Formats: sequence, structure tokens, C-alpha cells
Amino acid sequence: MATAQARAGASVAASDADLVAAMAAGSAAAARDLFSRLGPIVYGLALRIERNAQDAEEVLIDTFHQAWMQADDYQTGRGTVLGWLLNIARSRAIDRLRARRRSAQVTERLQEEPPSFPLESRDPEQEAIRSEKRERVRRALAELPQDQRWALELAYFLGLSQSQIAERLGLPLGTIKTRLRLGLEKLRRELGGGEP
Amino acid sequence: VTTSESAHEALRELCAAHALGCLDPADAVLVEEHLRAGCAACESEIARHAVVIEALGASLDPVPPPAGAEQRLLVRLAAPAGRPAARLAPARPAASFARWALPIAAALVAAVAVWVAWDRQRESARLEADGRVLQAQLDDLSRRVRRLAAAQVAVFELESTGHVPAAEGYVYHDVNDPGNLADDRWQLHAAHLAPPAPSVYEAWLLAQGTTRDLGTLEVDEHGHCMADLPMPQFEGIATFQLTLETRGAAGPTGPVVLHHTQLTLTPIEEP
Repeated sequence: MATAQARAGASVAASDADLVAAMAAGSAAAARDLFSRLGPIVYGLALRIERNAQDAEEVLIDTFHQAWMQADDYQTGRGTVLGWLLNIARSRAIDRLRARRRSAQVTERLQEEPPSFPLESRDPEQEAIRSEKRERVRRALAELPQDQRWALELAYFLGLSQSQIAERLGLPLGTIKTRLRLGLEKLRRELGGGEP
Repeated sequence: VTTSESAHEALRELCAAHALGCLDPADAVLVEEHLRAGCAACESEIARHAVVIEALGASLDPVPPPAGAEQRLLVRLAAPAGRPAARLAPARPAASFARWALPIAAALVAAVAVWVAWDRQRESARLEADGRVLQAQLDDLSRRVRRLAAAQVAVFELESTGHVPAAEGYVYHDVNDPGNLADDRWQLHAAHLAPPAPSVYEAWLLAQGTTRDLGTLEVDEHGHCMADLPMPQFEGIATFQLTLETRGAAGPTGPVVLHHTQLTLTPIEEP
């Protein structure tokens, strides 16, 4: 841990995993660096799910706080730091959605269109700086049949269960199960066998 | 557990939904049991889906977080939050050090974080250099706070009532002094309090049917407050309140800003 902390302090090019190791050793500077590096991506996801800045900011801060508290538990072999943070953020954002749903504040919202995955950039500058990986994912999403993409969006952004998606779309449960599976499998193939 | 080939295939169909977290509860139980039985194929299938799901999140455009979010995070990290309220940490010989150093370290960390925010707004090269020095101090203090998290101090996290939405705070009690003999055995550290003028912040203890005035509190221009609490001896569970009062008020008549309803003199053991 001490070695990782020293590395994080000494080099601006410390890896995400190095920063998490330094956080586990108590380095707030490492947490700040990780926040600067990955915070915008986590906030982008939180904002897409919550659809309001105040709730998204809470999710963002809760996510990095949870990462700080659980930095010891992060294992490099079980996925990237970004994936770990996005899982935390999505879980927390969906928990908030479900809580609001339980309190019947979003009855109407369930009838709204869910957020969608971006398929094309509307901003030329963003287009220029977007990473190749992001571009590949967007191309793969654009290749997906629309019905499969809708099912994925309802699950990913609204946290709806398969039964809820079936009810929402007025389709048999089996159809939804198939669409979700085929959708993810097609994405995996498009992204190169699950190693995007 | 023996799973037939057809049952395995049926469960494998559910791996995508499991990775997405959208299984219905009954299906989730089936898949979890199947995984616990040691199905490496389904475990691997879920891991492959997880890689794709991670990529979905990374496909979104980054959005710069709101100004102040980073400072809020740093303050949160510096506080001993995460330790559940009133949970007693393991004993350490350094408890007396912790008594004064924990709130002071937290206060300094908060002050440094506020300073850093102001520094960024100015975008001055000189202040940036100073900021690096203060950041080093922040790192050092954060480490101290972490070390002190193992001291024998009970921590009660105060809950905001929403009157000052961003307000947060903690009451610390050195449990080595159950007789409540020393003045500084109870400490209050609060942050993000709105400027009180023309009112004042006042602390109260409601215990055993009586209300005890713990005095008015000084809040600095950043909304931060650190103070000793002249806590009386009490038994059972008490309520701590921080209220906004008109100067000279005889009782807690103003709005409650922060409170804790489970204050105890003896620590609550870990479950």
C-alpha cells in the first residue's frame, strides 16, 4: 500500500488501480485525482439516470465516498476501476429511482420514455475527442435492433425488472428475456468477443 | 445440487439479465443457487456480459461535475463518516490524543478544502503553489483522521432536518470518561451551517424529561463550528439538538437544524 501511495503521489500518470490502492492507504489526494479523472464519466451516467443535477451530484459524491470506504476491497482482476465505479453509481442511482417509485412520486415517469444510449454525437468537438472505445460501443449500439436496444435501456437506465419491462412494453416475459440476452450477446460480438 | 442440462440451459438464458441486475426475485434466487453450486460456465457467461455492461456506461458523454462537488467530496472523506453513528471503535492507547486531535484535524481539513475552492476560483499561479502546500497538509490530516478512526471515541452523526439542507455535523464522546468529568469529553463539529445573523445557533440536550441548554455556538464565515459541549450526566437515551434561536431565548423554540435522537453516555456495542 505504501508503495502504491508513493507512486500515486509521485507520478501524475498513476493508473486508476494505483490511485485506488493509494486511497486504501488513506490518500485523499489520490481520491481527488481519481475524481478529476473519472468523475465526469460517473456524473454523466448519474445525470442520464436521475435526469436532474441535484440528485446526480448526490449519486456522484456517494459513489466516490463508497469507493473511498471500500478501496481495500477493490480487486484488479475483477474488472476496471471505471467499471467498478460505474456499477456503484448505477446501483445507487437506481436505488434512488426505486425509492421515489415506491413513494409514488414517479408514477407518471414510468410512462415516460427512458433515457437512451447515445448513438451519435451532437457535438463536433466531443466527436473529435471521444475515445475510440466509446466510438466502438456507440457503433455497436447503433447496429442493435431497436427492440433489443429499448429493452436494454429500460433495464440499464430505469432498473426495471424483466417482468416490469414486459408489462411496460406489453410483450410476453419470454420475449423480453430473449431480447435482453440477444442484445447483450450481439453487443459482445460487435465489441470483439466481450473484450471491448 | 445437481442441475440437469436442460435446467442449466434455462438458467444460462438468465445470465444476461443477472449481469444487468434486472432479474425478477424468483429468477434471481434460482441463478444465485446455480452459481453457488459451482457452475463455472454461467459464472463465466455473467463475467463476459459484465464487460459489455461496463462498456455501455463508458459510452456516455462525460459531463463536468458541478462546481463544489469535489470540495463536498473531500469534506465527506475527511469526516469520520462511514463509521456508523455511536459505534465504538477498538480501544487504542492514543485515546487522549484522539479526543482533541480528531475534531481539530477534521476542522482543519474542512478549512483547507474551503480554501482550495476559493483558490481555484482565483486561478492565481501564486495561490496554486500555496494550494499544493495546503494539499500536502490536507493529505497529512486525512491520514491522521484515518488513524484516529481506531481510537476509543464514540461518534454520533447528526442528521439535518432540512432547515439548512447542507448542514452536517458530529458529536464526539470520549467513552473513557463515562463519569463525564472533563470539560472537553464531548465535542461538537459541524459544517455548512448558514450564517446565523440575526439569530444564533444554540445546542440543547433533551434527557430524562428535562431540557438542558448547552450554550450558544460560534459559527465562522464558512459555516463551520467546533466547540466543547458542557454535557451533564444523564442516563438512558437522550436527544441532542442544534437550533436557530433569537438571542436571549430561554428554550429551544426555533427551528432544529441538526439533531441526534439516540445519544447515549455508554457506547452501543457492535451488533
